[in-house]
Amino acid sequence: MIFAIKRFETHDGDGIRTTLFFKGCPLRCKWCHNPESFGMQRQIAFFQNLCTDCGICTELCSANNLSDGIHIFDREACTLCGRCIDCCPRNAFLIYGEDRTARDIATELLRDEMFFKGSGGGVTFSGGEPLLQVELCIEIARKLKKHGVNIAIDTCGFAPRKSFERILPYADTFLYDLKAYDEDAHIRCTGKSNKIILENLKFLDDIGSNIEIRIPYVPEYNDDQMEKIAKFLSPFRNIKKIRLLSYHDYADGKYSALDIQNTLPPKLPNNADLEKAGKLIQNITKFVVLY
Amino acid sequence: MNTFECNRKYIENEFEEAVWDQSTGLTPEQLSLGLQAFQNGDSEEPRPMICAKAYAYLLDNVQLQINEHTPFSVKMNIGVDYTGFASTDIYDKELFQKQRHKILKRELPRDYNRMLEGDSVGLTTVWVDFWHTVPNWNFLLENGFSGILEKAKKSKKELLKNDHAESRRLVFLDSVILRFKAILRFIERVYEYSLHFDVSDFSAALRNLTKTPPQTLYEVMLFSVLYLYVEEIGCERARTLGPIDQLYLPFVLRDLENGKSIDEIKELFRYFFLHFTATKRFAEQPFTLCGCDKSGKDRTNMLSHLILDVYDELKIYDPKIHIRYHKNINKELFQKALSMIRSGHNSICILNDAAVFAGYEKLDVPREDAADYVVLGCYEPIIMGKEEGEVGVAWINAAKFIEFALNGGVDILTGKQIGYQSKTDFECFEDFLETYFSQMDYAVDFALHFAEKQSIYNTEINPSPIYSASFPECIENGLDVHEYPLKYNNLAIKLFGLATVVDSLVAIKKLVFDEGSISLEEFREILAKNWEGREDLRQRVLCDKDKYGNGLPLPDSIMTAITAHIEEKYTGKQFAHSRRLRIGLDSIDQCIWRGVRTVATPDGRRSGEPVSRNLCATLGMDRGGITAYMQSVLKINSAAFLNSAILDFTLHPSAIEGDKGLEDFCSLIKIFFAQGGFAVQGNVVSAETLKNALNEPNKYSTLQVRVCGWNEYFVKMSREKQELFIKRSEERNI
Repeated sequence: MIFAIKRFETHDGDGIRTTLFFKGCPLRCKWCHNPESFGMQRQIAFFQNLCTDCGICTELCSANNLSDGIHIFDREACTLCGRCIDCCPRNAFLIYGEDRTARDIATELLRDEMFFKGSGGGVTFSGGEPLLQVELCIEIARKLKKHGVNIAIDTCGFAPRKSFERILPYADTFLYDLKAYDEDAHIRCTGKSNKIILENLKFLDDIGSNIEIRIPYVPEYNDDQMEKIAKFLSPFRNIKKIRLLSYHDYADGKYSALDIQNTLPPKLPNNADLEKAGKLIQNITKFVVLY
Repeated sequence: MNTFECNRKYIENEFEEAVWDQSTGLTPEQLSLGLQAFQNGDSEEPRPMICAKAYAYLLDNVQLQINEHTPFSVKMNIGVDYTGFASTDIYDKELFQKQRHKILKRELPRDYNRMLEGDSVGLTTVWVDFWHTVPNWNFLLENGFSGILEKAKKSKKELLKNDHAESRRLVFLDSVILRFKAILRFIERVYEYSLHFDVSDFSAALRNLTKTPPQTLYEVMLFSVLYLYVEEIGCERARTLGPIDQLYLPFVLRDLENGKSIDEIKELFRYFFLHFTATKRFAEQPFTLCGCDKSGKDRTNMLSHLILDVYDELKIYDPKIHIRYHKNINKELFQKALSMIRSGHNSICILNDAAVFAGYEKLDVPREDAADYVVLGCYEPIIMGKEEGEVGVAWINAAKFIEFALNGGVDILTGKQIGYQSKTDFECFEDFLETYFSQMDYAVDFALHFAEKQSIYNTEINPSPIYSASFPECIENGLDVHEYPLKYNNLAIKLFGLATVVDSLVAIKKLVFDEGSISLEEFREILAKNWEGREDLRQRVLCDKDKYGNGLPLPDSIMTAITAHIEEKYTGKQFAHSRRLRIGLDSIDQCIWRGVRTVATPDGRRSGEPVSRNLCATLGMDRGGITAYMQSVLKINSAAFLNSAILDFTLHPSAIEGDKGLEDFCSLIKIFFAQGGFAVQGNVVSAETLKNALNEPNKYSTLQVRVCGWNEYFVKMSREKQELFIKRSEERNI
């Protein structure tokens, strides 16, 4: 199950890339920008701000009704038939989640092959957590590798060691997320322990994988974890760079469209704090820190 | 604040705010009356002489103004609306348009009526294109005004030695002499007037320019400013300053040798560029930078870098810049240009030398000549000094042929029979497509027939001695440039609205011929009623994935069939005087105002809405992003469309931010060019566009913005965050 394929991505690995978003994630990070990736099932999003109460969809689907001229969407009654998507003039509906074959996905990913080759780019598996669907990952990766496509795995690290071992022959780079070093902080931020995440990272480093670490910087959630993360990373040998990602709360529209409780932290980072954190990490680890 | 910054506010709006010195000449109204006398006067006199005298009258009597805050001080009061400068001046109204109308009514009455009828329904107008001239700047700078006058006199003398000299040649040279004398008198007059002001450098340079060719960078710039004035007051426009990094370099080096500093050179460029910003000419004033020579060597020099630096610092969009890209282009300059585009300089357009050379090769022009092309107007290449180009004779709305093919050539909004009476029943899609092509050929053939006939009267409509005199071939032979003495001559048209056409053909193919879910008769009615009561069908069409601009097989194959038809039938077609036909696929703003008179189309477009722009996908239909869009465009053989096949790209600066973003942006454009892409211009999304997206989200459903390490669809963000993002964009963009 995937939920998006985005072309001309320039921030998820080297060169020009196409990012494939797998649906389903074991973590529930409070600041997550992709709430549509949480579950592994198809989900409908209704963007109320785009709806003009025109009523066209109410004629085709019983889950959509007009009450006093106001459009009401009954999520419980929705069967994900998709007719509302076909008829809405404002594109207010969207279904996240497509069950597609590896062959079909790989064909679409290969459309930008000339851009990968010309820019040193490739395909990034992201999500959600791609390694939750390691079989699909491998099947797609095999097809891409026949064309010599560079593959990056953007992972939260919370996956069985075996999944990492199995994807290893195809992965050129791991974009590895670290959210906190302290276990309790990690649980508070993501709902899960980070034990397995830290162990998997050590494993990848030990066997010489190419790693880019990604640390979201979220005030009042993990801003106190920077020094500890840096100290943890400093003995690593195969980290090519660390990217510090500044938290933004632009995703709130998607939370309400999906009717998922919005957990986005209210406080945004300022540039000075972000740079300070970056310098701290760089000083301790000696790795290149990017923003 | 330095001197330039202090002066800037007195220059930027100097044309709108000019207070004319009444003692220096006549008002535009008085001049207009004076010109009428020439138009209505002695019809026995050859037209070039009537025009030359009228021209001299204008230059001798036009009111002046001097601005002490700029080294390019002088302005002429030739009309009230300076924003349309070349196209609205009084000479245009009194001598050019009236004369054209008179001649066409007299000589081509039936064709002229038919052409006007086509215009009235949004199909096309066939112009006399005097507004895309590229003078031979090399020859101009070498000789100056006085040098050209001398050459014309000498040529006349030579001609008179021949007892059988054609009188038209003598007339041409006489008109050159008369006009250049008037120019020199005009400069002398400005000089005398300037002595009353604190502009001693300006006065001294004027004095020199009456006697010699320009000697310094300042004189070159002033000469160019004056040349544009004196050419366009005769109703023509030099639509490029030329390759100024090449043309001006010897003067810059000489200035540096003579003790000028780099800072002083930069300061001159600041004033020079700001002069064009202030003039606010219609469609802006371009110049060309870089490119490779015939051996493939990069022409980028220190001046190319300096010019970009100054331009970047000024944060202006007029003049506009054409950069010639090739695989060996200076990396630093290319990156700088793209970084400028990224920061909001969307007035930089980049053309691909390899694609342009391939286009010229198709017209049998060898590389050694093609290597000297410059870019004029929007994005049309022309070989400076060797090619006379009428690059904008007609913009033809290709979406009209959908309407005509569906309705047997009838224009639905007026009920007039404009296309030919084609059949209205079709056996299959291919049959319909054939009729589409027949309607296209019927209109294009007529436009070319009309353009060709009309061009016989070019010199009678508006003789071009100023522009012509920039070519030694014209002076030596006593021929107006529109009598085609240059090595290469072209005639060019544009076909636009192709995404509307392709998406419409896809809809017809699928709904009528493949699925059979609607008959052609029903479709006709729905379109005639502007989709009224059939919003469901319209939405179905709009939601269909097969839209041009997404690198998809079906729409791209239809686009390829259309462009291949045009290529085969029209590209390079020969006309009299060895003129070759060039085709462009750009629309300028005609997609809007010709769309107004175009009935609803099967792609879901409503009646009166714009048809698609340039080679862009229909607004909101480029769902696959820029790489997919590029792949669609790359399927078109750009070599067949030398008159431009521009790719407009839309990216938010945040999608290509940081060093890596810039590197990837460079890779993207290089890959496009390596695959044969013709030209690109960067639509970096401004805050203004984001605001429009806020108000009309369905038109911007595919607009993506990068919010952190990923993109979001702008219209799907919450209102509050959209506004925040707009604020952020306002801070970032110039």
